[in-house]
Amino acid sequence: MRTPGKLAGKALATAGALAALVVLLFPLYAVVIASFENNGQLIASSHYNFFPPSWTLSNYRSVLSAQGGHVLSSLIIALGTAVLTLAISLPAAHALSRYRFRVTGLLVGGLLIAQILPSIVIANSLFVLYHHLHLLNSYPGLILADASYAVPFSILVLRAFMLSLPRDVLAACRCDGAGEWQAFVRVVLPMSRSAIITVAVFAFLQGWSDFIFALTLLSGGTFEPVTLSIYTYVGEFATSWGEAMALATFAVLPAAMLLIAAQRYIAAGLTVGSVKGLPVKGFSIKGLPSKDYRRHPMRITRALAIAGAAVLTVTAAACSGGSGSSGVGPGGKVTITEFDYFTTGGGSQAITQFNKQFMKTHPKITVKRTDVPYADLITKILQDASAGDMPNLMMIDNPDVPEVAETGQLVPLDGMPGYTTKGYTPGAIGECTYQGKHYCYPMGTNTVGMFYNKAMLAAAHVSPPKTWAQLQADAKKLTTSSHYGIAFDATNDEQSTWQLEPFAWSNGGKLSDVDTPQFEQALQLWVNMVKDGSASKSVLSWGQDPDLTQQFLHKKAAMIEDGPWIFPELNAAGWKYGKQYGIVPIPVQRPGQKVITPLGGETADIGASGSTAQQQASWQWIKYMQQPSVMKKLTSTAFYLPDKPAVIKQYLKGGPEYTVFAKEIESAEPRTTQYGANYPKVSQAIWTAIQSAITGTSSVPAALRTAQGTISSVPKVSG
Amino acid sequence: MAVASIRSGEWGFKGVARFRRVARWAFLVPATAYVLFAFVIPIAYNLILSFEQTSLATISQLFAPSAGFSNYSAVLGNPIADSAIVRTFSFTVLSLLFQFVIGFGLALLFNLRFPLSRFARSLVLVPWLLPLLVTGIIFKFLFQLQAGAVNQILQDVGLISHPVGYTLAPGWAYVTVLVTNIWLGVPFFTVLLFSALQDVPAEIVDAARIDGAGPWQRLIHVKLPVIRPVIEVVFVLGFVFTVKVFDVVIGITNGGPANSTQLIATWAYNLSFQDFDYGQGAALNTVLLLIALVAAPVYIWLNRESLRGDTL
Repeated sequence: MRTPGKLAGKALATAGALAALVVLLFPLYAVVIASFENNGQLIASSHYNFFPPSWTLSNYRSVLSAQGGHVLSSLIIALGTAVLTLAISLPAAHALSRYRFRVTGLLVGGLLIAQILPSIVIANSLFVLYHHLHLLNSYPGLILADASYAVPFSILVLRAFMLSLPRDVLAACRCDGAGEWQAFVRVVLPMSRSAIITVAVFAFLQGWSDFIFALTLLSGGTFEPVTLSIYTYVGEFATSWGEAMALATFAVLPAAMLLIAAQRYIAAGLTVGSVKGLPVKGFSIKGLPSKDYRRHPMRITRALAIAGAAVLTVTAAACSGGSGSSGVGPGGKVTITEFDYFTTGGGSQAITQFNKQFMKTHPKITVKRTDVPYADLITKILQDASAGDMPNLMMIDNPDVPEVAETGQLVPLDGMPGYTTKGYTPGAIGECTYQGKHYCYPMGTNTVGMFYNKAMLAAAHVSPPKTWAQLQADAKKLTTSSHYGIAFDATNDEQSTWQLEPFAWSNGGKLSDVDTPQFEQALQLWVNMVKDGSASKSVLSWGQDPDLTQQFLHKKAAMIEDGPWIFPELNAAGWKYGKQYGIVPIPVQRPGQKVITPLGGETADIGASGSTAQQQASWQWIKYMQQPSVMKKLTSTAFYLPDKPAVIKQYLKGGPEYTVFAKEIESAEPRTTQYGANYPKVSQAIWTAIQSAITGTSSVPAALRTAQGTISSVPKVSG
Repeated sequence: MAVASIRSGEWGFKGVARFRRVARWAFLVPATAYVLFAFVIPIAYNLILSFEQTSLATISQLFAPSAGFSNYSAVLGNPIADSAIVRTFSFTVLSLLFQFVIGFGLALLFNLRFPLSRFARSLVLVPWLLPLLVTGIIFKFLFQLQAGAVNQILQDVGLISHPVGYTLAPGWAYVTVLVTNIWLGVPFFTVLLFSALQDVPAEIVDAARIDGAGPWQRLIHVKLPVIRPVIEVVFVLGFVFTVKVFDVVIGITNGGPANSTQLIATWAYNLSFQDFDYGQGAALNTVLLLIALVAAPVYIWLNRESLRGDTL
């Protein structure tokens, strides 16, 4: 009976469903579109393009070259999770469906509860336990953890399915005198083919999608699945959306492919896994035909065996790299390991060149270098420190030095032959000092200044700011509908504290007393510039590099607070100091105040776990770096300033763009003077206050009062 | 037990019977070992950690000095943890409410059987299959201030005149994370409720129709009572998924700005892995665990049939 009303209803339903689909699928469309868009286009554009004006493959090119390995890692993890899950669940489901145990109810109840347990709870414990089992940063460790998503679900689904198998086949098998194992392998497994596929698909997707365990149980350096690499990527390059979305496309690909290939298994598994066993009449395992087992009875077992063997081989290959030794080979040759976070750019180039040159002049020493992302290095080193298995040499960000030294896993340099503090800037020595001992030499130094776009300032008829009042007025005048007057870094990490420090310190503020007018005025200045629209609210999510650099280069910001590490990007874009841009010191509140900026830069440190020969060889490496000619070359390649005033003088002849920073460094201070190893806690309290104040969650004084509450409970450096 | 004795009777050898019984248990060994390794021991160890004075230096010892209840008092006295607990509740309730309303609506829609309904149904699953973290990152991109898609759509429609910094203002950031979580949870509700509606026996519905019940009455008085158990399960599972939400928040806001989207799980992560205070992290984890376990008795009750120990 087809009535016009019914037809209209159907048309309406179709339209409704399509509308719902548009909403549900639009995000995916947006991802794919953005992955083909030019990054510069995405940043510079003032409105969203539903259909981009031009297309590019460059995002995929750079993602494939930089992240291709992560896709492989994800595949290994996902396959491993699927294989392990099946290996555990199949026998258990078989036993629970075929034999009567007194504990069946208890076991099934336990599995139901296991499904409920939050993964973050498990991850927290596993992190410490894995530490002792040496399973951190390993495929087996991560796969074992990832299977926890899938095992309870799989056993329950497989058991429910096996319970529905026809009795007579098993009975016949039993009559033939087949053993338990044979009945399981020859009859139950082939008949459960479709349920096995369902479970394998789910376990694969869980392993592929995992983020919590990857985040907590891996610390970079060894391998990284796609989820973790997207997270790190977006954290590091907050505005490089084109590449991030190309990476996201890779991450969603398996889901899309599986949906096409195994749709009915997924839908069935979802339903069965959730509601099987319920007293609902008519619930059957739909979409899971059990009849096609006759065709290829052994196929699954064989496929599983092959997949398992493949995973084991790859895992073994991946695990077999590197193990500790005294590092001393025949003929007195010494091998030392070196860790840093210069994954790209000038820093990476500088270290590579330096290592080459060092090995040429020291033929008995071999340096093995590993670079891991910034966010991972300190976690990795702290983990290694607690395990007593440090790299021989490491380049640590200077505010982190006391925290690592506190573990007792760094070698003090005071006893090393020829160690001296003479000829260095006081800050360089200060940042390496912990409890009266010296643990490092800086590789180079930097700090922040105010970059400005010359053309924009000229067009707005303003001169570079020297005081806060000028800064605020300039920023306001420089703001137009297409760009902001100023940009700085107010993200929720150390970088935003580091960018506020010069304002607060020059104004007389101290880290130990942040609820004072000196500190409040500095933060208020930032808040005012966001409030009056001179700075974008996005400062809350823009890192100083490359986000601020990109804003500056794409002329979205007339001034940015940044440092010499952005020179390579400016050079690459053809921007010249004194022509396109200029730099002034961080403005002070009143004329005549001295600019006090925080000292930045990495330090070279020696780990305590190496042999004496390795420690001595590492010291040779650090000492070699201190020769004026080497220091000059290294720092200029890495875009740092040297730490010896004598070398700085020569240095400025070839690089006038460093002049402002060289001047600032004369009075710059290390961040760790007051709180040593506890500086990160203080910094966190301050960046939390910065974010509260800029978002308007609390007033500036209230935000800093809260921060003071935290800081007051943090112990200071004694003496 | 009866079954086992009959079987051993067939064989006639007591030794063989005992061997077979051992063999049966052998099938359970991998799973039992795994459950101990991945669930029982970590949960027990989390409890131990929560009563210990921990720092990075203590990680090299399996057991750190005792801290009494100080981790719990520190965590529960921390205003961030406080608001994270309240926020987790409101987030869970709002998520489930919207997921159910939208999911049930879609399920009813698909139940109408129209051209392309099969095709559309399979596509509905997509959001549910994406890695949660990636979903978070994608929505961060859609909701961004400069040239964000959501801002563009709302401006084109005329709902807003200026772009909003959704992830940059505390209230909006919460809404952004909530919307994302609703989006990714709708497929789960839709698929389960749709399949439940499909299983409502046609005879009952027809009988009601003949008795003169309109579509609305058939829904309220016939279909809803029949699918009630599924609705209960969907809510219980939805609660369990949502209360431990982590990836999405980390992907979009990382708990910020100014901790305004911090939930229990994300703050516990912060305590353990940013501040390296595993003890306090473990204490907050215990709180999360207790909240999640509220669902356990209900979930087990709903699955009571599967506990009965049926065999083939």
